[in-house]
Amino acid sequence: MLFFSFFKTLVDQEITVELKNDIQIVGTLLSVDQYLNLKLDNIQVDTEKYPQFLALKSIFLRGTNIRYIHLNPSTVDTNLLQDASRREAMASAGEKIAGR
Amino acid sequence: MTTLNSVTVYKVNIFLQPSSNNMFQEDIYLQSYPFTTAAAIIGFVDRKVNAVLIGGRSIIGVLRTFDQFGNLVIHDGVERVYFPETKQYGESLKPQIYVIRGENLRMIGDLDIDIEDKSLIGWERIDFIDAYNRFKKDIRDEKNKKKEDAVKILEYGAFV
Repeated sequence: MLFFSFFKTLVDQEITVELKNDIQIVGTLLSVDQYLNLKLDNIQVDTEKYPQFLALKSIFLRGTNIRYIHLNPSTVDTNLLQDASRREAMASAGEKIAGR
Repeated sequence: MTTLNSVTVYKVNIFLQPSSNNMFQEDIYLQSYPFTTAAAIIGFVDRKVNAVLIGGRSIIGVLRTFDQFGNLVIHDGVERVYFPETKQYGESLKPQIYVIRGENLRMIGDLDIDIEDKSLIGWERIDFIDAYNRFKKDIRDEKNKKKEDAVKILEYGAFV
């Protein structure tokens, strides 16, 4: 559930999503759920190549189709994320967390 | 009696009119169940949507219901395929009810009807059967090309 919480902190930020069919979508993150499905607002896509996006305003992307999410480095605290992911990994391995 | 009336009016105000900060019923629902699949999709219900499926088909119609897996029921749906290189598109003739299994869904978005009408100006509509066969052939060609490329690279001793 760590990355679910992580994406919740990114709500209202502008992100770029790359799908498994190579479409890149830039948009404002509106919502994320437990499957990491995303909802984006004010989307910008290369509509010359993908005309089906012409009239769309906000879209719901199924998490299983997402390849990458490009984030602005200033919105991510990598140290905190590293720490949190190690904590979660240790907790799920059933080991005692150092210093606790 | 007056109190009852005022309560009724108050409810109508909440649910039917966007208040000063543009709140609709689904926004209120979104606030009470944040960060769930249901909350994300409920805003599209009873609106004209474009569902893009794995494989590239687009289905345009009115979203009626959905569930947590992203299974959808689309009313009066038509299937559309685009050929951006030649500015052509094909659209199925008869609107149908589509029940889409969630695993095949790539994305779903609500259409701005005004832009939707204008978006196909300058595009040529071609016969759907022809368009669909061409669309399937394009996918097959692309797949074969990828396979051939992979074989070529493999001859040099690398994998794709």
